[in-house]
Amino acid sequence: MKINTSSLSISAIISFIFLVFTVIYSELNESFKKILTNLTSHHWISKSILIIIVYLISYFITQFFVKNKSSSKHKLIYALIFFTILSYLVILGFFIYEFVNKT
Amino acid sequence: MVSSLIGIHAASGEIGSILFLWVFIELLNSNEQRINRAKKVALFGFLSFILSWIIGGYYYLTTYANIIKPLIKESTNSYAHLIVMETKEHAFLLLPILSCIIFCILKNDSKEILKNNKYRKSLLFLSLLTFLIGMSMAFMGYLISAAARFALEVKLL
Repeated sequence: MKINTSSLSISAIISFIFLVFTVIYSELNESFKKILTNLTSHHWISKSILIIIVYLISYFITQFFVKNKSSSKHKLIYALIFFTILSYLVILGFFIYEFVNKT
Repeated sequence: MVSSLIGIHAASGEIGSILFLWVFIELLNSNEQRINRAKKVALFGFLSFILSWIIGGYYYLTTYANIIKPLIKESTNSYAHLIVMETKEHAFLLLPILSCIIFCILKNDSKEILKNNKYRKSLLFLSLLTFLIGMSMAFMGYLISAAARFALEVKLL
């Protein structure tokens, strides 16, 4: 089976945006965190499973309309690099902000 | 309190990170043989991260959350949980996906990587980023362990 590698990058970007949203929203909204906890017994397990599901669903959907063009593949990887660094920094920045404000 | 699980978690995570440094080096000056080797190394790197994810998650839920977390939160180094651990447990989720993508690209587009220099360079930077994020996880793990040891020493004295 030939994998659409352009779709892989786009799906990763979508799942990273989903991860950042879930992390921040679950910290700000206690009932959302409770829903995540009730899903699997711990919110972190739910987030781990959900990110895989979002990644797989995104890939399944995007592979039908994202063209796997050789000329644009490197641009998608650079976009993925950008979103990875951004996701990392937003998660770190959020917890620093929460720590400074709550202690 | 010392668990072998934390050792396996840290070792598999660090091995995974170093394997992506290896992928980076193979991609610096690639040929068919090096791409084939990078493919195998990336697969082992991906599997190492999966192992680290499962073992670390199990340790977090069974030991860290019940024993270590309250100890650190009560100590003067509460930042080790509230900033470092919170960031680590969530940012780690980036690694299995990044490593899976690198492996899939090496497996599917090996000929394209050799022909297209821009594509090879972008994959080079993605491998380096995976290595750096992995090493930042190791550094965070060190901070958390140090904070736990410190909190325990204070409690014992």
